[in-house]
Amino acid sequence: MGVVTGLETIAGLAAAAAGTGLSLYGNAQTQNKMNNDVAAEVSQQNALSKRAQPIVASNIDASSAPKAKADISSNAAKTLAQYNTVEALPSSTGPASTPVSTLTENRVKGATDQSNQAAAKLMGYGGWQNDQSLRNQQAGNQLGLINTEARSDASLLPLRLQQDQSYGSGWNTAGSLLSALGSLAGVAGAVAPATGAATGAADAADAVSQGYSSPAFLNFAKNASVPMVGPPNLFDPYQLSLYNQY
Amino acid sequence: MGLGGGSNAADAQAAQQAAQLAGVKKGVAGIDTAFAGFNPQFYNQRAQDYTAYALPQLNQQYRQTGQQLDYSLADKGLSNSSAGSTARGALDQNYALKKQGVVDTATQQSQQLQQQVQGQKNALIGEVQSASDPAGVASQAIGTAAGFQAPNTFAPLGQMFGDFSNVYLANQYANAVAPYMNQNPLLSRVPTTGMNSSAISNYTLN
Repeated sequence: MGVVTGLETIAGLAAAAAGTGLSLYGNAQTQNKMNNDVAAEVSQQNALSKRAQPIVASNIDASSAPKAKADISSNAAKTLAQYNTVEALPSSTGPASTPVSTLTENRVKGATDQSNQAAAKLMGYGGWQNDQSLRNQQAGNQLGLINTEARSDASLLPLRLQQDQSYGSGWNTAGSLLSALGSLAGVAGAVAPATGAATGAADAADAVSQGYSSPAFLNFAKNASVPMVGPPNLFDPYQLSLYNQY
Repeated sequence: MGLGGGSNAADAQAAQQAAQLAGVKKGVAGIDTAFAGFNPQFYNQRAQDYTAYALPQLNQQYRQTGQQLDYSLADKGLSNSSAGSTARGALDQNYALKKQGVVDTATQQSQQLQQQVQGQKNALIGEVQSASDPAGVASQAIGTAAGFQAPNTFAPLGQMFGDFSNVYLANQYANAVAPYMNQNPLLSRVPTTGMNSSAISNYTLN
């Protein structure tokens, strides 16, 4: 009888330990999955950032002072060419009745050329501002699309982490079940002596014959509020404490 | 592992977002296609169109102002004088400045159109990103792009040589009248700006 009780108790303890082990394994699986998902999200965000960086770098480079000067010059040259084209067009007015002296003609032409060059330079700044504004807007659109993708992807992480929390739930459930079985086995181990002793005095005599005849035990059995029909289960803390009192 | 659990809500959400993202990319590609015609050549053409529209009007005004100047100079017997040559030169220089202004206006209008087109494109791309139907926004982009390509209506050029006429010719008249005004104190209060030559002649004859 005592051997069976010990085996049941040991089996219960083993099952409980195995259950705890399974639960820990499940928790580890959950943690790993969450770590992997966070790492994957960080990696994805880094990849998106790498896609955005050349756009920003290119726009910054195009906005630099040397590029701006080149852009201003280019726009100025383009405007001056337009001035010259329009200047060369015939005005279709016919010969003026008031003749203009060569000196005056040259003076007018010189003044017009100077004015055109100066105005073209000024227009170059406007052209550069226009180009810069368009570049910024186009870069903004490209970055906006990448941001949308990044936001969209990042918004999934909480869902994934929530999902991950139940990733090891199978292991946890199995562990809990095994722990519960282990507890039951432990309880069964504890209750088994009482069940066996309930058959009557023969068992009591048997208990006495097995050495449970010490004065302390007999006194304990006599004074116990719960009728003792067998030897105390010393694995039961309550019974052990009662026994120790005697 | 076989005992791994969990719902597929995140997967479903990911699939939905992936589909939406694909829709956004498709929508943006549609917008790019619809706006593909707005290239530098298009905007150069827009500037040239304005120049072609405005220059004939400017030329006509130049011709009319030149005729007024010629009549005025001839009236004073200054047609073949250095003063006449200088006056004509001043008009020509003013004409050159006005042509410069036409080119500048053409450029500015072209740049404004560029900004408007880009702004509309930005708005459509923004809509695509927030719309549940990116393809529908892309279709809308085609209509918007076509709207920009439709011909604009332009106001007439206005009086381009008004300043020259008011200032230069009035000064000419004032200079012509000034000697008589000095001789006759009664004429010292006579306004000359905006008067025609016959009116001034009447004053001087009186």
